[in-house]
Amino acid sequence: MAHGEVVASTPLAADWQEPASGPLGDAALPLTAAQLELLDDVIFEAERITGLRYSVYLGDLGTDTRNMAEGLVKGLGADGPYTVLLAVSPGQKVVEVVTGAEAAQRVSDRSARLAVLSVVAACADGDISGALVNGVRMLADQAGTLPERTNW
Amino acid sequence: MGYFLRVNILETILIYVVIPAAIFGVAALLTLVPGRAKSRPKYHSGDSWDYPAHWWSGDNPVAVGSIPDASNDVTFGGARGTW
Repeated sequence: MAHGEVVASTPLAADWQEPASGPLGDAALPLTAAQLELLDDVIFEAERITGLRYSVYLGDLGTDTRNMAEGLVKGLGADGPYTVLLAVSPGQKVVEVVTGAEAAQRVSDRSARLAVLSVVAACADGDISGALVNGVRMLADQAGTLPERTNW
Repeated sequence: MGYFLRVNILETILIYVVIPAAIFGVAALLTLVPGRAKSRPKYHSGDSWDYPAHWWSGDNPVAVGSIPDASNDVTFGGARGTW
């Protein structure tokens, strides 16, 4: 054994792998870092004001788009009834808004359709990021501000 | 006095005109280089969507409202649309 060498029972230097979390390059992602940051701010603000859970899905929704979107809400567990989900599938050109049982009392189906109209218009123009941001903003506006959170 | 004798008018123009102009020229040409920010193809309606699915959600605590045991309720509201 040469000077400076060690023998370890487990290989310390594994092959490099792309980290599962942390800073990743965004060139292969659909949204830029600035757009992601804006979306994050908008979701945070919507939840802070309304007290509901806001969730945004961007990707394929399978053959039964409605069923899969509702499955996403169910996947949120105890927060499901308080969830407003905005799901956009650009490949299928489909927008789904799903509101849980409690959230549906704050965001009526009619106002959800209004938000869907806005999202559809932006997506048809190719502005996916703007569609998500403004969709969440409209759904949050429809839900209204909780009285105890007006001064937050 | 000796300096003016050693630097002729051609060299003066070379130093004070040509070299600054060359520097500005290089800077101007660099603006034509396509940046990495534009490498992401813009989505147009009808394009295929080859990105992996993304799902974002906030983590603020929800305000529990009038349905304490709403977790058993599986009715959903909402809307859908296509373009």
